[in-house]
Amino acid sequence: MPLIPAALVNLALPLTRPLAAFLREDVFDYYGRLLHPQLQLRRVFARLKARRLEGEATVVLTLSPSRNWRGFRAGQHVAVTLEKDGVRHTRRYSPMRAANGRIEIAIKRLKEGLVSSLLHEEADSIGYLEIGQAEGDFVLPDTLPPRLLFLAAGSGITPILAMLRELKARGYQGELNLLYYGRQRNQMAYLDELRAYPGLHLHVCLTGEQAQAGEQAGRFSAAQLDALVPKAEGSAVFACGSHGFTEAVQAVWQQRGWQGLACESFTPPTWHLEDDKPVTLTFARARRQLAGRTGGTLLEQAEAHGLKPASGCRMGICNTCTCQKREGAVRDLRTGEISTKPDETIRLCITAPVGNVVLDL
Amino acid sequence: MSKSLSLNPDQLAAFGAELDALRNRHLAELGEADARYIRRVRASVRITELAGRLMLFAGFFPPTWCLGVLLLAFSKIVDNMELGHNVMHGQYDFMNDPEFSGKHFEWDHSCTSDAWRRTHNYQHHTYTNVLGKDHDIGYGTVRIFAEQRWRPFYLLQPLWALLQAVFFEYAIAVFDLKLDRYLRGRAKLSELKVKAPPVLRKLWRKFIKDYVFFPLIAGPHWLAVLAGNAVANLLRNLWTFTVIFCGHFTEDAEVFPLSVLKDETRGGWYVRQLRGSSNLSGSRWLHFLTGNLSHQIEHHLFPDIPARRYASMAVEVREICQRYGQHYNTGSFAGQFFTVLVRLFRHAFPSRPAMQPV
Repeated sequence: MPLIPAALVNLALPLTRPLAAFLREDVFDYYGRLLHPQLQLRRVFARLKARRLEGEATVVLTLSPSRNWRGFRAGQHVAVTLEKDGVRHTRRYSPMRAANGRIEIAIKRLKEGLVSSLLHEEADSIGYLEIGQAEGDFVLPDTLPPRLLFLAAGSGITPILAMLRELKARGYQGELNLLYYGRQRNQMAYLDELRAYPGLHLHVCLTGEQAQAGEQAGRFSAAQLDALVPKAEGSAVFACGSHGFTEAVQAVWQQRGWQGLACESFTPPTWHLEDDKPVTLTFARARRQLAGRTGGTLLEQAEAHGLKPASGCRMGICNTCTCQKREGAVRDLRTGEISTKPDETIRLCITAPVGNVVLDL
Repeated sequence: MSKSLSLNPDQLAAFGAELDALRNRHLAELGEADARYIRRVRASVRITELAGRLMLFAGFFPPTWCLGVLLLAFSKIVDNMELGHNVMHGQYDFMNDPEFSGKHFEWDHSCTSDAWRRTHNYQHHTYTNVLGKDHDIGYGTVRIFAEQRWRPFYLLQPLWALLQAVFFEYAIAVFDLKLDRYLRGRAKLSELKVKAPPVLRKLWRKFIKDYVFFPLIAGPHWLAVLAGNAVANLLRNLWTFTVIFCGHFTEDAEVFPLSVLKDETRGGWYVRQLRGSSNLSGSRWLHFLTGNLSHQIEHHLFPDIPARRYASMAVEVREICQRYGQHYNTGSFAGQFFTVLVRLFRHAFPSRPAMQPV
């Protein structure tokens, strides 16, 4: 039970900001959290306010972030962090506006998804969740175009629904089309809200079961697009789904030479065990992409391309080359273990890529 | 002379493989228990610091003042050793917690954590006890091995060591600047202009905190707080100095020539870590208050495994060492420190190595 009320904490948070210049953040945060979980200098903790099911496989959490959170633009994503067995795990979800300054995140349950399972099963025992600041440029433009086309597959609906809610709030009067793909009807989240959305031309496309009246069957294709949205050309388009889905969409737009497509995909990292396979190494902060290969250490490969990440012992003991891996599959060369977790700490000198890797360097 | 058998390449490889296996077993077990442990250690640091400082605010009333000093010294010692030193090694990086991240941890010590990570984590741990590479051999102020070149400066080294013990945190803070090189004209002053500011900033910050800020807010009891902070820092300095000098400077600790680094294998590296380090035997409290540096051998073999595991790893390390005929250098705190003092006085005078090092 927090020792001071949340309202007071959130009143006080902006006042603590000048302290950052004098205090060690971790010291302030340690004492702060003894008083209230949200009393942190910079970090954002969100109170879990409600939890409900959308469809059969998606849980929707309503969160109330502390005032340290700087808000978001519809379509962006935030890091959500949970602890399990002493290890913190981070996944990214798209926040959506909800009533009273709260936000919603929708979590689809994945078969072997550690965080999604936790959020499904143990959400009741969670009082506060750590969330990051919103990131990403998959957002609506400031001046809205006359026609908007949304393409969503599976949980790719969440940033799109965030945009739809924003459009409603901004009183958008133009033409709105949404092609929403899912395997099975009862697993698709937010169908009721979408059906009730005024002025939205919703096309529900089922890829894993028989379509009923008012529904479409089959995966995204050029022919299906032409049949459902004859005036697709010239629309501003937002597509979100698995990597395969956005690739298929991109292919059609490229082939026809159409403009105005923005894509975002979420894909579990793929990996192969053989050495010397070509992979792409992305150094996010340096904004560099390098051609790498599996098997060799990340440190050696970065250096071979002229990058100079901090390093020391080159044998995994000194902790100088430690950095965050944002995504991708890597192997720890000492134990042989492969890890595909997003946002984890690795050491470049003893880690080899086994697939495409994005590093926070 | 080494008390350990010299191993052939096959034996070295097998020795290394056994230690790697032990290490991987513990790596696989990391989890909840380690995370809970380090959070409790951090809680003990924070709570004792708060309690200690509050007690000093009560002024020179002997019971509270003494208890306040002891609590504050305890907090600083645990912060530097079991918490800071171990976290900065990346032992708790597996938690993915920014507050226990080895790269970003900041401690209650005048030495900047960046300089520490460079001189200690990298130079000292990679090149342990290699002459010319590991500057921790004598910290540039004392000669404790016959293999170090003698200079008249060392004649007074018991005094230098005492001064270093009293001002240990400052000695460590400026250690990375290697000031003697500028005095002897071996390095350019322009280099110092780049390296000095962060060090001075941290020194200044620590100084302001303990000797200006807290005395000031204590009002009429400012002197009690100032003195209390000074004594707590002194206790921490003496304690950490003593523990650290026992780590690699005991009677049986060995130093190595630069040539060992050429083509050194993983097994060879393990053997060098083992022969260059020495343990202290004692109670659980001794291990805790030394930040488990009482298990210096295990720490040097496995610097990135949580130190709370060293006690149980030590049992197996000892057994492995015995099978390979490797001397396991351990003894009581007093006994080991006595051998350090013997070295300190003996090698103040010119001396020659008993035989060429292995």
